[in-house]
Amino acid sequence: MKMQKNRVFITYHGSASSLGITTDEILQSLSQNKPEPRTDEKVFNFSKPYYEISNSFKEYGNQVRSSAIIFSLLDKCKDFIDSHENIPVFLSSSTGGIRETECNYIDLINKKSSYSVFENHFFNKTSTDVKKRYPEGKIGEIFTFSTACSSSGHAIYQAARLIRAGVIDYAILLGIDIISKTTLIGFDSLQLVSDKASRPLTEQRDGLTLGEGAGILILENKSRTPNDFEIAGVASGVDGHHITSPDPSGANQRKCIYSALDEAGVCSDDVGYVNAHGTGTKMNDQVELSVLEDIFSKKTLVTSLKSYVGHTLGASTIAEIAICIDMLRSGFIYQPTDFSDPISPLIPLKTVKAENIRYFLKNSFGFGGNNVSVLIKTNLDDNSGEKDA
Amino acid sequence: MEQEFTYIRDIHFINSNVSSLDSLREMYSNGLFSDVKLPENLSQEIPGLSDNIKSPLKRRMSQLSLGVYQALQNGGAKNLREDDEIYLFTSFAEIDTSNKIIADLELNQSKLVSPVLFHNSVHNTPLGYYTIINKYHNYCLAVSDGINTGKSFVDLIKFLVRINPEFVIVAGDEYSSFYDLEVKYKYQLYPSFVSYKIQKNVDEQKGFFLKHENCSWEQIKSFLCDYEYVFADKESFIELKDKVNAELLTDYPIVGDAPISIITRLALPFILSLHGKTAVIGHFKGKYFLFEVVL
Repeated sequence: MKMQKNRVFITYHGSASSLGITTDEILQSLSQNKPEPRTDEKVFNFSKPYYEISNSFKEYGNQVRSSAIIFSLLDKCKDFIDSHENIPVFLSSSTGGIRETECNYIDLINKKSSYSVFENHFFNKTSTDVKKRYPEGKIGEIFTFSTACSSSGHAIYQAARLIRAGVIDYAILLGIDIISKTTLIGFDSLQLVSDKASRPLTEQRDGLTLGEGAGILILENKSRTPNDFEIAGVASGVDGHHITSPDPSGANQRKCIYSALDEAGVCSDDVGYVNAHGTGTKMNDQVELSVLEDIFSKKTLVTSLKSYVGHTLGASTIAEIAICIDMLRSGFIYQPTDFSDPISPLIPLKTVKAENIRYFLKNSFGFGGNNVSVLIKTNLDDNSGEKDA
Repeated sequence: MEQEFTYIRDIHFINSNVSSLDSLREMYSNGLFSDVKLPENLSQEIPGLSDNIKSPLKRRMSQLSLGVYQALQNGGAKNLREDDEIYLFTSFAEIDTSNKIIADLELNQSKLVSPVLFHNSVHNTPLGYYTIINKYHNYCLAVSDGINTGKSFVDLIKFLVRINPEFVIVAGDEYSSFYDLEVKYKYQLYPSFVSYKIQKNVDEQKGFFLKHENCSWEQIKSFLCDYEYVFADKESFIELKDKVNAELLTDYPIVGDAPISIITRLALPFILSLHGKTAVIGHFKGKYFLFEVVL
């Protein structure tokens, strides 16, 4: 069978995080009001900070929080959904219904609960809620990918390949992870959590800060506007090294990045910006920046959004790509005003203009050494204008 | 246009009663697959899962991780190439580990959990251990949709075979006392693991393809007269008993109510060398599908 080679456009993007849920909110928070993480020991029996989406999503009634957040993202692309049938949906998450199970656990043990674990704990809860929300025939195939922090990178990898080969024409990609005791205390048990808000890619970094987050991308084989961003290359592999720590040599991370560049037919100098995985842990940031310094010259800027939104785990690839699209279209690459002591000359000290960013790279590296690199063509004008930060 | 077939090879299946494909063939000869009875000696434990794993990491591996390891090592990854992609389908993933963590947090109000537990609770943990022990770097993906994971397999496989000439499947679920918390569904869940390599068959009209999907029960029944064998899930088997001319078989005795039973069921005609045409059927929420297997 001759393989088609369609282009893969991002015709819609959206995110929900501590930065906000609309483009205006996100840009306002990036430029002026860096979100503060929450610290409230009473909620999760956890004393260290974490980031939350400030919305209550009350308009979605009794829906569990993860489904309500997903619905809010889907509602923003109502026009697309209304005009298409049999839409494949690629979901990605690492937590599923853990939070609801935590809340019901004691009652379940005491046999005082009507909470069905098979309906609510696992990822089928979200996929079933998505499917039920629309008339029969609207949502087609729906799967959930879960590879910890690289989960939504795989949604992009699989959907982009299928569109490129002509197997499907479009797809909705969703990533969602909400805060739970299991993830907060679990990461803390590994001594990976910062006592204060995480400072990725700095000498002072002392761990990650978890964040609640979600993202949506619609991928299509045709663009809707001349400025639609485009998936140019995606690659994935595993370190084969350690269950929590990255391979210090960065060999597979390097391979993924080069593979993504090869697929796009571009070289490292064509990449103007890298949105790093950049969790803020000593090891992750060290290995990732060592790899990036090998591959890219000083022309390539590197930042991490996790100082704004925390680590949104399975949602991070898609959520952060969506935020990057907003950011790059605004003409700037943002850094927090208190950013200092970067660990690499590739990292700008402050907010800079996003000039001549023809391609940007998004890295995601998960437990089990699972790595994904996504290369995106921006189709932006070269002249990004004279806007002030 | 000629139908494109896909072959299944390098198959391995494990549960508490089965450690080799010969045992499955013997079970078939003894009529085990001709009834929806679970063997009395089917167990929640699978002895010997950590045998032959030459790594101290095996002490940290759950039943799921051990089962996935053994299934891959003896099955789909037996002839693993550097660029083979590995797909893990698991309904409930590392649920026993997650259950231990949640129990500790909720019942003991713990502010820390054992550091070896948390990272073992993520869905790609089994693939992580497999690739770490063997120092592999293959593409790895875990797909998990709870009780809908069988449907996820059917939907994803029909896409993957169109773009990927060769890849590895591993599927399984472990036992956990977490299932006892369920208030609505009464499932007979026993641990089992299967792995195989899927390979496009360009030379022959042999192998499998997804012939029908999203059918009604009446439609599926009407298609079955074309087949010498029918391999069905438990409910369909009961409905079809004595109503089809084909030899009617079910995988239920070896997989129970596993949501991912279709993944084993699809491999059974290949394991048992059922020459001729086999219909492998299943259903999700009232919609039926049919894989045609020609050997």
